[in-house]
Amino acid sequence: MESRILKEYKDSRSLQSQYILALDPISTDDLTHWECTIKGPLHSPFANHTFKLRIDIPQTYPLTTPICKFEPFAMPHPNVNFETGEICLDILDTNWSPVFNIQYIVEAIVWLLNEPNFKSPLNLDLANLLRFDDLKAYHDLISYHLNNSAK
Amino acid sequence: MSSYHEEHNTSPHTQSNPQGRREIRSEFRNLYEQLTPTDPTLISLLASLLPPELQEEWGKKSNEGCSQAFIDSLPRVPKDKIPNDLCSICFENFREDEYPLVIELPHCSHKFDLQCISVWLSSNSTCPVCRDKVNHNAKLDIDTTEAELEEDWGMYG
Repeated sequence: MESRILKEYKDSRSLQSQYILALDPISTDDLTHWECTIKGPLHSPFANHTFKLRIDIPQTYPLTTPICKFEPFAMPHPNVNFETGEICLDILDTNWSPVFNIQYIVEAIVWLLNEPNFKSPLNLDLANLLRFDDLKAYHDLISYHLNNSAK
Repeated sequence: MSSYHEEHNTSPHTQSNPQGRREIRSEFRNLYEQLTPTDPTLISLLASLLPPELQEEWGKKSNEGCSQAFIDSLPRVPKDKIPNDLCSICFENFREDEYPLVIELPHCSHKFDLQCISVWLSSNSTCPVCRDKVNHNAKLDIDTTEAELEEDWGMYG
């Protein structure tokens, strides 16, 4: 399966995406650890902020899913564990398919930023605000965290 | 008043031996500090604390793959009909392989390298592209082959 990740590396050199600012292996000697910088989607509370993702590719890739995390204390989102950066997304869990690639995963994570789901929360405070439709408090709490972590 | 176990149609098997459960728990606690949370030893210890009925369910869930016999029986695509396309698991062109072994899933006609799809199907039972259950009518397939075989026997008998 090494050749597949090599192919993805080659494809990633010419990647052009509105929201993926950078997608690179941490070292070109070892294509199993990647770092990605994404831009918060427009019209979401994350607009005008950038976020780093860490992607670890298991030996069994693409038959098993890569492990993707935000940096700790950087992503206030109902489906992200704020302390660890862990992400709850179905395609990174039971709905994984080997036809997905790294770029697809990152795009799905950008999509998740715009489409939070309070039914599978990893951040209970934000999920509850969303569940009870308190959108002002929801946006304020996100901005509070984003402005604090930027310092 | 009916007991919890009567209401839920389970047996009090695991509670009849609280000493055993306590031992398993303390063993689990010790190992948890030494191993990673996803270690198979820990998971099997946890599973042994489940009531037997649930253990059965658990076993079913972790073994969702297709049988080797089913994988072996997947229809091969003849060499002249192999498309000029990528295998969606390894991202290699089927035709670039000097000796391509390409199969087609019976339910949805999606094509893969035999090698790639067999590893996936050994622990999953859905098509990677469309997520259809691949062995949906596997049993039916086997039945028809047997029927055909019998017919053949009749003809030559």
